[in-house]
Amino acid sequence: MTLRSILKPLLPLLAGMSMVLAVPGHAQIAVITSGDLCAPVNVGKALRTIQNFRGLTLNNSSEETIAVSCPLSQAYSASFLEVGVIIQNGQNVAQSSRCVLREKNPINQDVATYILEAEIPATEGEFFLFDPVPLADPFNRVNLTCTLPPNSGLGLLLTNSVFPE
Amino acid sequence: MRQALYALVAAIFGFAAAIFLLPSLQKESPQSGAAIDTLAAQVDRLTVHVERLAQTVDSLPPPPVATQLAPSAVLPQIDTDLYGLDDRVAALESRQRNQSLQMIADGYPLRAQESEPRVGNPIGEALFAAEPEVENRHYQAVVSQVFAGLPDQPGLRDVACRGSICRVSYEASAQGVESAASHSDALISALLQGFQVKRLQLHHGRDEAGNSIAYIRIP
Repeated sequence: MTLRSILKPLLPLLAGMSMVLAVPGHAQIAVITSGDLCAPVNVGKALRTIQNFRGLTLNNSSEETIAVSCPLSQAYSASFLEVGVIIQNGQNVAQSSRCVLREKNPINQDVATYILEAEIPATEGEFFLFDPVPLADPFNRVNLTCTLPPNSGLGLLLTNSVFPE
Repeated sequence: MRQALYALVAAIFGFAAAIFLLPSLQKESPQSGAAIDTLAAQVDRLTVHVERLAQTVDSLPPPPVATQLAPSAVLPQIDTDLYGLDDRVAALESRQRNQSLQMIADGYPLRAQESEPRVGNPIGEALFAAEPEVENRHYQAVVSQVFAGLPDQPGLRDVACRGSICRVSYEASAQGVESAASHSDALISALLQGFQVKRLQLHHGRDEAGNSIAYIRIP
């Protein structure tokens, strides 16, 4: 997988992102984070295959799917949170990826779980955009876990904190 | 005091040099013997005087610490309130304290050990209540099938499905965080497969009896 093949599909995805960033009539804070802050869920399994590389969390394995966990920034007291993530597929065949967004309360109990599964076309990227998450408590936080299929990379995390009018 | 001491020491060295030169002076002026004796006597007196002064200096108390430091005029004058830092820190501390007090007053669980599992899930309940009260038997069948196929087979207590959402009550897992996480992953996979969807929402909670509740929504 070359860097060029990973970055190539970014442009069409920006259209979807710009839709997220415009919620009329609401104050909002959008934050974009580089995907290389994600870490493998199973560190031992991913020791040789997961690489944090130039803004990407890459799965260099040609066979194994590896789950990575990403912290997300959110503004305090937001009433809704929108989350998007771009995953690029460096393989010459389409591959499936699943992202799970968990809303957790301060003592780490699951409050809500949002699941999104999509097939990423060969050598292209997919913008995983979750349904808006109504935060039940200002101290609740969200965590994102995504499966990275072989030769794929997670490059961009987007959070949009939406406040009431 | 020290300057006087240095002057005396210089004088002593001067007299010593003069005595050292006396032989040559005697050769040139034999009549000066009386003057030499006078000079020697003066040197003796001055030596005694210097010794006394040295004793006085040794007996002086050590100078105060403040006089050992550089003069205060040399030190930079720091205006601690130049940026209003004191006020800003005080305001932040006050706000944090008020917020903490409010959280305590609201009965916020500050320790995990003291916290009780939250009963219900307001958002899940609101979503469930918003659906028309029409039973969705297909979804009920799928949920029952999914739970029956889970590896640890949690006991299903109740399933009620309306429109695009199901309210499911099942026995709480008490096998630790790791087990609960793997259970959750298995449940998610089975639900996606059972409903044959790519997008799913779960809202979690507990009922009064301690059973787990999941509001499963297919958007």
